Amino acid sequence: MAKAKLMGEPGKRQVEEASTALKRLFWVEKETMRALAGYLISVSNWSLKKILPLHIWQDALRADQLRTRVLELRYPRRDVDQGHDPRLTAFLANLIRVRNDSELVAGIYLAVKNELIRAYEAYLRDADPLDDAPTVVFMRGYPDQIRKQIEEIKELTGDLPDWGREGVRRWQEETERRLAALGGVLDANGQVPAAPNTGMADFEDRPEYVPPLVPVRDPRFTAASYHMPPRDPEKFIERQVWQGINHVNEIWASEITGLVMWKWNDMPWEFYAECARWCYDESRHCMMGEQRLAAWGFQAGVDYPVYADHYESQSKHGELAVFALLHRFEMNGPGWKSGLKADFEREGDTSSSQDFDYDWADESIHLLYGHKWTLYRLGGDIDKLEKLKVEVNERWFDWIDERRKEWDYEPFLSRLTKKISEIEVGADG
Amino acid sequence: MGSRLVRLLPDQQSFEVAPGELILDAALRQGVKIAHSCRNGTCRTCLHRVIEGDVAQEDAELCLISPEELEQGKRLLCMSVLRSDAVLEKVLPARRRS
Repeated sequence: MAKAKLMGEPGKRQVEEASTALKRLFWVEKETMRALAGYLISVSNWSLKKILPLHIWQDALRADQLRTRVLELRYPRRDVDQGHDPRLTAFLANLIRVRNDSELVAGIYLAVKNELIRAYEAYLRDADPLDDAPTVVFMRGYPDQIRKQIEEIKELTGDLPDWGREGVRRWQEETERRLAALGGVLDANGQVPAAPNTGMADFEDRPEYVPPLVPVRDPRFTAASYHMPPRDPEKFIERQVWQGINHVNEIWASEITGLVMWKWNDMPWEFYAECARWCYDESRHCMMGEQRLAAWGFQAGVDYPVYADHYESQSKHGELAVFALLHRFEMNGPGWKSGLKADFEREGDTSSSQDFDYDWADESIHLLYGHKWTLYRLGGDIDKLEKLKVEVNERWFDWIDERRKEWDYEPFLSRLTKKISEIEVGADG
Repeated sequence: MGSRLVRLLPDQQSFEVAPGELILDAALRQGVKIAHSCRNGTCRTCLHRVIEGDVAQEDAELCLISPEELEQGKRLLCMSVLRSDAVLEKVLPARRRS
């Protein structure tokens, strides 16, 4: 009797192998993203602080697609978020234990993200373009997206004071060595690597990461104690500038949404996906204000303060208090931002008006996230939520009242006044 | 069936709502200002309490409002319709101090 013959190309990867590989990729993306998010508050370089939230959101989008795909491949929902390789988990948890911005990007971008590119390319090489098409379609864009992230970071490294130091190079090499000892993210065939017998490379003993109570700011910035000018604007140009300053300082909202992504490590996946988007949105608002002010020659941290007063007012009371304050402020957003949009449009400042319009739209989803996840942390007790919002709001007003007594906003007020006068003279001339 | 009438507290603004029309849509159409944002029942900016009348929350399971809040007469106006004339009051954030 003749033997049955193979029909077509030999199979390379079954569903179970694909789902376990994708689950591992999801875990690396998620935990790398959480490390970046948790360290955002400690990042001192201003350019790096503004670019990371975009990457965090991109990482979240990739993780979300991978997780969804795992579930499509006959994988139980409860298992996709648990049962990960404990050695890989320990490795990923160490990525945040860095000493400075340079080590963060050397470990995560140059070591892990480069390895992720290799893993995606290996997976795609052996993926059946028809059988596994739903994976191939979204994954095809990943290597280039991650390459672009790495390039964007490399462009900033010249501005990082510690870049090029021996310790940074050593951290990168140790990270690479340790990941290699785990067999990499995936093996050369795009599958979960068999545990090698080489043992774990010794990883430099680092203390646990402790986020600061006051978000770190670029050392080149002039010292400040709060961010908004201590008096109301007296003319429209001042209102334009004041609102620009307010927008720039929304970076604190990226920092708290990032911090809780790292600190609260047992939340449903949707929490991380939504906070990643929120974190990115707030950095966009920051950059909206910075762009408008830069068009008039104002420099962040030099001509106006960049200071996380909202954050600092609550941080001794824990990250839930900071998170709740952000949610409480966003509740004022629709009325306030829609009013700003209309006012600035009427005055002919369509640049600001358009920014407020998109900011207002962003806040719609942030209100959903803020209500949902603060309530979740409070066990679904809506009375507790209402009390917490009152408490943090009052604490903020008490705090800022005290700060205003202590600091007269100089030298910023003089710098702002001088520049505004120059702009007005230029406009008249 | 003709339009029904809504009166808002505390500012006493009134406006008409056509049959099947969402209350917020009717307000915006007539230039009545109600703080709002998402227009799909998820941001809670337009949360009001029904003082008088019959107001139905559409697609309540998709909206960010709890069964307890619905029981207390709260409604998200961007996703609510009238079944009778109604008086509605804005739900304001709790405040301890003035």
